[in-house]
Amino acid sequence: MLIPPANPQARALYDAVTTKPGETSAELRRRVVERAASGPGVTIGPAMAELEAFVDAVALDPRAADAAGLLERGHSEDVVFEVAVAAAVGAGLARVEGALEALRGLKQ
Amino acid sequence: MRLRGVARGHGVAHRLKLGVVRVVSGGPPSDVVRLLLYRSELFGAPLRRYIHAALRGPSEWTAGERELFATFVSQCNRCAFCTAAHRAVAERALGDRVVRAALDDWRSAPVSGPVRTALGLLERLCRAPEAVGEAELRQAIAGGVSPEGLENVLHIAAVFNVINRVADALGFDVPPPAVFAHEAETLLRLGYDYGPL
Repeated sequence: MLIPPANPQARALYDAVTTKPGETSAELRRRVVERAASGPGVTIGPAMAELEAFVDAVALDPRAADAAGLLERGHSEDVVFEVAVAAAVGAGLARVEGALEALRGLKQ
Repeated sequence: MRLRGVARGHGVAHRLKLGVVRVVSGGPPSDVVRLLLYRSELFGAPLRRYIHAALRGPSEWTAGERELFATFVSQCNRCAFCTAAHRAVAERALGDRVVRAALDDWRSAPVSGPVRTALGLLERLCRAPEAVGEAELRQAIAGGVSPEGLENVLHIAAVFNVINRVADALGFDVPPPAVFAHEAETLLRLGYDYGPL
């Protein structure tokens, strides 16, 4: 599970994608962040397989993320935008979470 | 960019902001600007402030060195857009030869010891982030980087791991190098937090 960042700018980014109003619910975006950070063990919701595949691609192989396919299947640009940025924030912050935690340990 | 509405300008506020950027910069906004100004309260504004703090905030690293780190992370993630954009700024600050050498082989590049140490850490973080722990950080400190300098490097890695993914997932168009070279001086001088936009 991704720990909300201690750095104020990172925390503000995390808070924005997980709490601001959008076409998707804040709860869905929180699950997107968690799945991108922690892996496919975190489900986004029932009947969300195509969004989950998109989140996994953004996290692991973003050039393979099928944004055009989501649009063709009826998702709006706002949904694709919100899910893409939430997944990128979850995966991106998770990449350095362990190193930042180790650095905090060294500083103490 | 795959989100055509975002690329064209979506709603009055977004189109107005894109118009301001067009006038100020003297050219069409790049895809990253279009995206960061779109519903910016949700992503673009806090991301710009994070990037600005990491690349232009108080630090033992120069702006040029931090642009090199941003380019290095982007290259490691194979993000063509962010690599080209930040390479232009790094080259403006450090010169083409140094940046090319660092991106080709950081071990032999003509950079300071601490910069080489930071590039090595960023490479390990890119290839196996879970393997970067206290031992690697102690090694970096022994290589001349302070804990605060390391923290700065880690936040550069974080923020570029975010924007690299957005750029590639949404298919940002990569403009010719001359476009990024034109923007480089402004980005070097003013940074990334463009206030009320």
